[in-house]
Amino acid sequence: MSYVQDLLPYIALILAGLQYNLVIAVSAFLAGMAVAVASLAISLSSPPAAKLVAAVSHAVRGVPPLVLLAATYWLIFPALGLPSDALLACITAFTLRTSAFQLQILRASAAAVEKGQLEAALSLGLGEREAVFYVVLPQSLRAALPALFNELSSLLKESTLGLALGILDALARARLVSIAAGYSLVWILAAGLLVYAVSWAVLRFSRLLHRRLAVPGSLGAGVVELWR
Amino acid sequence: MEVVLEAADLVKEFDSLKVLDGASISLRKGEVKVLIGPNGSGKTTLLKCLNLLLRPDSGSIYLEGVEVTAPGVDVKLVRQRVALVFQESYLFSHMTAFENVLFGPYKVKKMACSEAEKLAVNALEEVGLDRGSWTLYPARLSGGQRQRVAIARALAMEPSVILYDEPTSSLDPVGAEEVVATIVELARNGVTSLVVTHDVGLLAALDAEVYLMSKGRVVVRGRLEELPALAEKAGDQEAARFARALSLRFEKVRKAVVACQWTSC
Amino acid sequence: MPVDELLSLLGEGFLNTLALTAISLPPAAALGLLLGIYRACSSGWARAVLDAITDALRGIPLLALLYAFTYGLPELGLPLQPQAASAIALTLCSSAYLSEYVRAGVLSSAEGEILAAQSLGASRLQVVRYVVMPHLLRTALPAIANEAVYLLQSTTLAGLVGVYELLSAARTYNSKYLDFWTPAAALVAIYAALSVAVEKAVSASGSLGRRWLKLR
Repeated sequence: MSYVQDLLPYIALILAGLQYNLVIAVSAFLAGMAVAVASLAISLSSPPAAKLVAAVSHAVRGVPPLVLLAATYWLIFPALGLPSDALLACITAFTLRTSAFQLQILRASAAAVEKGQLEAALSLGLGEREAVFYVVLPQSLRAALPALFNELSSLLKESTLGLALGILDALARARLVSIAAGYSLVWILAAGLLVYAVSWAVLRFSRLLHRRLAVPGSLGAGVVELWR
Repeated sequence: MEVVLEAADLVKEFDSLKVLDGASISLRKGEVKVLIGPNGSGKTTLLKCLNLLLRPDSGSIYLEGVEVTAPGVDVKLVRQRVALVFQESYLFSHMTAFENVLFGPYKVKKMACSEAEKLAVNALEEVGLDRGSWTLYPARLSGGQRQRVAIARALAMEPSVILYDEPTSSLDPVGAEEVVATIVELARNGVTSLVVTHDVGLLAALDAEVYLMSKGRVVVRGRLEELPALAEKAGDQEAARFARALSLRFEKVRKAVVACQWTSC
Repeated sequence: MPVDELLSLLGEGFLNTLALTAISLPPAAALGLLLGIYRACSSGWARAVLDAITDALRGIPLLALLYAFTYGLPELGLPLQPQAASAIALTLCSSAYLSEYVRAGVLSSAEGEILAAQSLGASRLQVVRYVVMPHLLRTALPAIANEAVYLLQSTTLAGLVGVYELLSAARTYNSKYLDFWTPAAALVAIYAALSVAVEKAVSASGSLGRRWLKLR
């Protein structure tokens, strides 16, 4: 019993580290969504703008996350005169990265809405903006939800990269604990499973929401959830 | 004439829903029988059990006298002898029409290439597909052509019996006519066939005995005109209603068939 | 700007990155294909176990897996070089994701044709070789290419467990010459080029596979 009691402070330490993973993932997700929606609006305004947005988005997606992290912390922040805050740099880098992926998701789900829907709306006399807002957008948001939650889940996992900048998240603390107490495999896997549990909960919630919000009869059998 | 295929008291449950509830059917060599019934009556499930694509929970199936539902039977051999033609034809989309028909004898039965090719050629000629289409991929064929290739694919296996699952349901009138002509021709040449359909044109052309299925069992059998009365006598109102609706449409078509001799129209 | 030093440092990092990708990708693809097809076409407890393992491999952060293999295994008496440990972790993680894409690919496109092949009496192996694989090599290829690029990007994580890959090289240069702009720019260019190369390699293997699977 006392053995477990000895371990309690270590366990508490690791659990406390989880807050960094959550903060990074959630902040980046929400900020990224704002950027993605803004980018979508920009790209809808004119074809050259659309091309520019697509190119930038493609470029950002092609950069390995760790490189983006390093560049943000050691290049962009100093260049902009911003303080060397690891957490802020981490959130900024991930915001940029996830906004590119979320833009892709939003565009794909908007395209997935049948063209006939837009045509039917326009035939009823709706203006193009109204048609998009009242017919296409609700349907595409519904379609985008699973992919968006996937993205959140993936952010949770990538948030562990923060330890490269010195952020002491759950995984970093697990490593430190294992150096002090031994049994690396156990501590590391425990931290890994902890993050897994949180992202599993997120996906579970996503599946529930998807079923709740679905148009009755539209869900086929075997909905495959792809998570990153 | 000996019995080729016989099924007795088949029961099949899916998620506590009894799709087959004591279904029985039998076919003699050279016979052509039609199976009809409302949606959900178990027709497709029965066909899939007959070639052991699905295993019935209970009941037995005999192929040429041998019980194939017994344990230890090689399911693959059974399927080689009981061919199934699907509503959607399900041709292998990455193979040409000829390769689709060649696949069975060449790769499944592992025959020599030249022998397999001979079978494939004969099968395709029997279904009347023009030679020019033999090297086309399914995407380039019409619905009627695709379904005929599917029938040729079945024929090339030299099966004891061919099961057809609503062969014309997904075809346009031209395609349907082609397929009807093919199936009728094969039936006339003595191919033992069990056809599930609600296509009155096919029914009229086949002019065969009809089995009426409802709620997982074969309720009554006989000529199509007799079925509504028989079903009512058997107490199944839903089946009677279905048979009556089909019979009515059938009468209209039959008058047209009699007037114009089906295959020469 | 000591260009030759930059080139030699980045060159070494580049080779390690390339090696790590080249060693991890083929086994990941093979394992992913096998797992995906098996999981799509079977049921029972073996499948349930594999499902659970695949879920775990996808759900646990890749960095945790890298740590586990690099620092965890030596304690069990299995000391591995960082490169070997990273290769194993990357392979396992990628194959889990790939098996999911493969599974979805099998279930979505070829279901009817699988039924038809089974109706002809084809064995499981024949169904996989003549129906499932040709379909996969067409429909699942983009997803496989995507995953391959992600694998390439993931090699940067190996730098955190001791592998001297591109990013580590860049950081070494930075710590020596206090210039991160140059190596960073080079890095972005190199990764972009490598991504294209990886995508081309995947699609080339796909065509090769398709040719090998022809019927006659």
